[in-house]
Amino acid sequence: MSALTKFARLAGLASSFTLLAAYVVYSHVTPNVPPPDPLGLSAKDVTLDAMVVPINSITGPGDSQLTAPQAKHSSSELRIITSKSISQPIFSTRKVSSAEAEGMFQARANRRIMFGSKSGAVELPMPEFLKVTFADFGISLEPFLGFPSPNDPFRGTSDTTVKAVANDPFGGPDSKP
Amino acid sequence: MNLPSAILSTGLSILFLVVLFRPLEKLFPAREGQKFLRPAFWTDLFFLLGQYLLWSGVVFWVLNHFRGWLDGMVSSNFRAAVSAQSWWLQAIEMIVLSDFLIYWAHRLQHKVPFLWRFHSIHHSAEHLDWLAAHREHPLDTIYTVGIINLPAFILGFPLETLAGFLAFRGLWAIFIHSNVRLPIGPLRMIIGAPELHHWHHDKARDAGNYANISPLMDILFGTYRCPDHEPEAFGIHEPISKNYLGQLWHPFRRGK
Repeated sequence: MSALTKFARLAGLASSFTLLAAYVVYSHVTPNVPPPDPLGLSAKDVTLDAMVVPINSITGPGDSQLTAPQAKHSSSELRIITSKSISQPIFSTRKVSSAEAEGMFQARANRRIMFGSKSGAVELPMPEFLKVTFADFGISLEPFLGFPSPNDPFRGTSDTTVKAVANDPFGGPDSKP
Repeated sequence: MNLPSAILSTGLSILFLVVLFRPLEKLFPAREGQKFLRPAFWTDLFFLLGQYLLWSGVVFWVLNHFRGWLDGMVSSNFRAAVSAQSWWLQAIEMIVLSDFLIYWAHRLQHKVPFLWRFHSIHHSAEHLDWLAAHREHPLDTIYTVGIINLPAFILGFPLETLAGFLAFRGLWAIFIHSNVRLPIGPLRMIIGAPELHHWHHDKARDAGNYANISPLMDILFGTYRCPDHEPEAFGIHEPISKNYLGQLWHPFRRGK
């Protein structure tokens, strides 16, 4: 057997067993999905009287309490052992009402864009010789005070911007030929 | 689940099964050279589609009512005593009882002519692979799945707690039909293997290996078989229709 065949076999085994494991975990953590019911059987009200066995031979002496008949169960709660098939659909889709869909889009549209994190920057120790600053290139920048508002009448012409362009040793936007 | 969702879900399930089993069938073939589009591929695909889109809902509905009917069979005190045991002990009891019942129920399917009418559809597959596993008459499925679930229904064991195990069991049942010969060593004595189940599909009707997954019942009752080669031929001796509808109708034909 060549090395390539060996590798292919190992890769095939690994991928298949990973998928198998993933499906097992997926089935364990997701709620049960009843199979499709195109005949509408679940809507049909068929009542079967629960079988009552009026003996207590297997329940031990003094036990004559029978289970209350409970002929109907919620179809979504039933999980069954299947044979030669996968019981849980790989992916299940959910129908969303138009009002719910509109709400979802609205929520996305209203979501604020946030720059940076609320937590402080992570401080990592760095050797001095690795610390390169703008000052090393003769550029001095004012501290960053936040992005200008789109409604700012002075947007793009703030002092900070002008100073940065003026001090740019490589030429600002105006230095293009 | 509405129809478009069911079709989408079925399509993705087929894709998943292909991605899962096809590489193994290519890399570890039990029968070299068996093509993906082998004879009766479309018949078996119809069985898969029928199962996913129609029959599984019917089986589910029947079992739901079956469970309701069984609710009064055992007293509440007995159920309470069962559920008072530790979770893992209940699970083992449920699995062993289930395996025991399906072993004998499966032997009956091969012995009793009426049950064989339905079960012969599953055995009529002459090419085994992941798809052939789905060739099963819906009434045969109701019988099989009903028996497997019987202990859990009667004892009131919450199968939700074993959801991952049930998923594995369903997939493994497909795997043992696949065209794979993968030496998994002593593990096959616990969870079964394709080489065992392939011998169950030997053309001889009483070929052994009746256990659904674990071969322990076969070992216990003397029907375990594991030659070191593949069977000569799969299928059944009796004539049977080649198409899906013909096979669905086969058990009801006169003169059977």
